[in-house]
Amino acid sequence: MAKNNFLKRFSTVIILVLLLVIFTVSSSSFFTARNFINILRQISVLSILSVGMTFVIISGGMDLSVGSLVGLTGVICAKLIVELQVHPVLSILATLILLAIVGMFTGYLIVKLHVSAIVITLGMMTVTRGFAYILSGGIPIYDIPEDVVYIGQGYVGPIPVPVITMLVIVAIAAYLLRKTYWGRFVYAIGGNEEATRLAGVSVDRIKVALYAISGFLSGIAGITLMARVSSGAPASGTGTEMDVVTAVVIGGVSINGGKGTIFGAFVGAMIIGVLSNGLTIMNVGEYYQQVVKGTVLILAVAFDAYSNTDKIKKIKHQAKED
Amino acid sequence: MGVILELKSITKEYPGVTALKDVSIQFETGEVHAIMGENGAGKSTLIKTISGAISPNAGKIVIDGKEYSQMNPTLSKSLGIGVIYQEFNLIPELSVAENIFLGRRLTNGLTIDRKLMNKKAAEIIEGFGINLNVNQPVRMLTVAYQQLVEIAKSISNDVRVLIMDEPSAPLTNREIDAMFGIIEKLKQKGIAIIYISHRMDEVFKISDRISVMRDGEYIGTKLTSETDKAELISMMVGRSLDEQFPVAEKTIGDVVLELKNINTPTLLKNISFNVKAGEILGLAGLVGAGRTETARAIYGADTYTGDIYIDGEKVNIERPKDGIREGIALIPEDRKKHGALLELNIRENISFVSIKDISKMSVVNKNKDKSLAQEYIDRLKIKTPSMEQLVKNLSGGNQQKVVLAKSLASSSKIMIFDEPTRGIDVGAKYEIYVLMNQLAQEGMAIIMISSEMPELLGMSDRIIVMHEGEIAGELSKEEATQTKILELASGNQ
Repeated sequence: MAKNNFLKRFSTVIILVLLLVIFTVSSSSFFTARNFINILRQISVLSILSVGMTFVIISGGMDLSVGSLVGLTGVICAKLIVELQVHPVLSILATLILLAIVGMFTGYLIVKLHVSAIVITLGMMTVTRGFAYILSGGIPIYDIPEDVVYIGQGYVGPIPVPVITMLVIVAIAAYLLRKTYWGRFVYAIGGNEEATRLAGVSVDRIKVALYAISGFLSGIAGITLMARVSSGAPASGTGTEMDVVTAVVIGGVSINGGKGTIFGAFVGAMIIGVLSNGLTIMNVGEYYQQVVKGTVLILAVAFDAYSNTDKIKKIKHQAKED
Repeated sequence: MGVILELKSITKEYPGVTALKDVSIQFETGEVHAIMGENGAGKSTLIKTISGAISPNAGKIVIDGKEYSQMNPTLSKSLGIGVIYQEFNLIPELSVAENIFLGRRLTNGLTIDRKLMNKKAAEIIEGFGINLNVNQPVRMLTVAYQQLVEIAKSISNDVRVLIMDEPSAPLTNREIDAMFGIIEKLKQKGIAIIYISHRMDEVFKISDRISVMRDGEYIGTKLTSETDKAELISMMVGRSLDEQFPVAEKTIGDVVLELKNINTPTLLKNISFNVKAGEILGLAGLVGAGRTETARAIYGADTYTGDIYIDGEKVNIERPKDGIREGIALIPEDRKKHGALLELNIRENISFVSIKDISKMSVVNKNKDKSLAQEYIDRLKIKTPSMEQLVKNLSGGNQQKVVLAKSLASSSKIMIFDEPTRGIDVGAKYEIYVLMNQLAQEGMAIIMISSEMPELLGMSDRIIVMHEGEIAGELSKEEATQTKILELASGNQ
């Protein structure tokens, strides 16, 4: 039993370690400090989004709008800085506040209309992508100033700025979720919303806050990406929401809510990053990589379902032992 | 008559609770063998062991002299064991005949031989002495006929041991008589019937032998002709009737909670009553009388109009949060849906409502969290290997204690218990009664909603009876009897 629990708890870490071993054996250029920093930089946007998604999914919700919000963020922020000549710091702050408000609005719709989060955020995904194209006229906005580009391309010592942003966010989020009563409420809502409400928790308010956080983090991810590619492109982040859900679920966050950790989601993002990086180094084509990623998702979920042994499986186990 | 099925020292353990303890029973061909016991006695675990839905940790199941350490659903079916659960396993859109032969194809070359299927189904149904068109879809049938189809399904499987779990629960009196007729016929065919019920009258009418279980243990088997109700009850409860409820000296104080003209859009009409400190007020009534709705309105879980006064002052309760702030606690009827947070552990549940008191700047103080949990685990005698155990792994009684602890930890002065002992074992019941008395003695005002007459009569200082959303009457402890309550509850005063 103890062994089983161990496997269950660290299954994602085990998968990550396995991948690291495989790639290290297959390629000499994989296991280097430089490549690891590279991987971390590559997953920074994904990880930041995964944090918001983890909050939302643990509470029993879903946010499909994050990819579009990344695009919208880039366009708005770039437009403010480049076209409207607003001070960069002010522009960034305004963009982040706006994105939090957009998220809050999404949450408000979900809570008030009693419609499933998937449907509402699917709608918001299309609406916000539309706005990104309208505001930019469909063309990326270039000429982002050097100081802003630093957010995406700069280094502090050997560590890229996006990696620092990511680690800070992951740490704060993990602390919030584990140590505060607010975090406990989030798990409770995902486990049993009605019982949580009856225990005196303002469930609706917390849900709205969670989507606001997801919107805000989409803003941070969007600005990081904008700075990284030196332009605010309306199409950026397209399809990212699915990568984010993939990372979070691989990381052991239950799609039904109530279970999961920020650390797990971070490991999930690492798995995706290591896979992309390792496969690229091994010269595996982009198309094959997609097949591999999808397979890993299914394997991870299957493994999780298997280790969450319920009655039926126990019977099967015991039947084998007899 | 010979032994067809025998259980030998069956034990089944779940984390923190033993559902079956060394249970041995023999079942004979052609007998109706009733199994009785309170909720939580282990009856359903026993059925599941026989049907193969769960595997016992120890013991043997002997069928036709062959020993098995466990069953699985396919094996038990092939050995002739059939179960009629309370929830039927029928497919509403398929016909009676199709349901009876579900999963087994009577084929005619490639296609299903409908004629043969209908003929065979009709034969079985006629064997019950009942007329029923086997071509009609099951969804058109009444519950009684649906149950019949379930029985026919087992018969068509050459059942030799038929387990019926509370079969009379959804039936009217006349339908029950018809079912008894069918049971008699099955008995004559030599089928062993295991009849689970807690309705005394029925059991005496239909059974040949009665086995009693209590707290997962086998207590004994009696010939129906040689026993009586009193003996069975004392076997089931483990103590005689008047020892079921603890006696407590209470001093009843001032009015704590007063309701004035509470109305809800759908049900409640002008509900007005009060509860005093140190008093246990029983709320009686049939299902749908509005007892739970009243409780939820007081707590702020549902919208209502009318006024609520606490300690003489009018309070504004719109949400559960408000109710909790005013010192009201609700122990809900549906513990799993509304009470316990099953996916959280015991510690997290206990401090859930009062968590802001043990937190600083939103950060939970780990030590206070643990000591609070330990305090209530000790005080309520919650049986668990650790406070980190998930609540979903606890037995019903212990889950109820956790729900109770969650409310107690938040310093309430008014407690509403909605069916406080439903689905929990006898021992835990007694403990909860003792606790309720203790709380009353400490000056708490208690409202207890219950559908169990002995509980209402045994625990309440005063009883209010509701009928169709209105208060039908009030009875003092002295004047309350089962008959009076029932009369008020059914609306004939």
